[in-house]
Amino acid sequence: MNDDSVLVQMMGQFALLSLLSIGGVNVVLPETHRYLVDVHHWISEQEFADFFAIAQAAPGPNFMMFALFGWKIAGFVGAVAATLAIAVPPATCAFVFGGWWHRLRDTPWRRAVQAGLAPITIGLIFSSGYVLSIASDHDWTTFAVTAVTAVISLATKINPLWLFLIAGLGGIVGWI
Amino acid sequence: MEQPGVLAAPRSGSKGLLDLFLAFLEISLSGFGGAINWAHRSLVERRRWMTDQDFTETLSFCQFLPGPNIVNFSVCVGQRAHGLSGALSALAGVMAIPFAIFLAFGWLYERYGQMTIVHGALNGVSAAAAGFVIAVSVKLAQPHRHKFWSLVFGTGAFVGVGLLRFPLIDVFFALAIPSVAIAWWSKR
Repeated sequence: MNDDSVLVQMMGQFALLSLLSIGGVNVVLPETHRYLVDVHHWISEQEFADFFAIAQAAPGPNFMMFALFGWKIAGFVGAVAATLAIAVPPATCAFVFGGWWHRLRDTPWRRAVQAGLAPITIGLIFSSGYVLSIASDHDWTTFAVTAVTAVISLATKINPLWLFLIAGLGGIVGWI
Repeated sequence: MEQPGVLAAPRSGSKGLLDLFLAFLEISLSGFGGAINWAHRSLVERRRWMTDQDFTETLSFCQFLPGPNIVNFSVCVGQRAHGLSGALSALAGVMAIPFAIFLAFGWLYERYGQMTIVHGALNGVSAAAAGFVIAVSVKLAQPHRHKFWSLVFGTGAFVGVGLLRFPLIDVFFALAIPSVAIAWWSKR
């Protein structure tokens, strides 16, 4: 397969995903994983987990991990293409609908759509956590890190960055 | 310090294209663990471009739209200030510099990703991040846990996409249509 067709395919897929990501990009992570790792083998399981970790730790919005996916697949052009594909379709929607949403906000159909999509969004975010833990947890220590982080995040209001920092340091000194 | 009375009325003076760019640049760079919290601090508390109510309404609209929330939010705020050029300036603030930073991280990863230290750090962070995402979904599920149909469709989404790895688009439409229909009928 030549580079151009890979680029076009990737952009088309990311643009489609961007329009399905109601509730943010975490909703489409399992599908992104299926597409990039399982179907096309463009990115390894390890890289997928690593890019997600970088996106969490780097300054900037998390959806920028798509820039890393694109960069891995097709270099600099791929990074630009992937970022535009994930951001431009939703931005266009926001621009077009932003003008007249005030008229829609109390309509019953909007409330029904919102109420109907909410549980699906939550199930998809849980799927993202599950897919990421399969990609990241190679042994009982990493599994324990996932479990402990989940419990602490649920029980406290601590900024997750502290937990990531501790886990990262644990990895550096070789405990994880 | 400005007078307390000014709080209710957003200032309109200092909202040029460059201001929009810089405000959203600041928000997107400081947006660890959710840029939206920083958006509130920056736009409502510090710059006073929006009221609290304005902020909440705009946010709920942006969460309803597909895509990264911060992208939608920047477009809405920018558009209201300066139309298309305002939306583009705010969006550029969200994307341009973080894009360069992420590329730099990608380059570092390619060069040093195989080093034991870097590898260990990333393993630790990704394991913790997976736990954090699970915690977010559990928190979001709390208000829904006694609703029968929410449990059915939420679990359905996990089984279809998480466990069975079916294509999202098939699972999404198979579940969204009955779920929205049931929400519609149960509200009437």
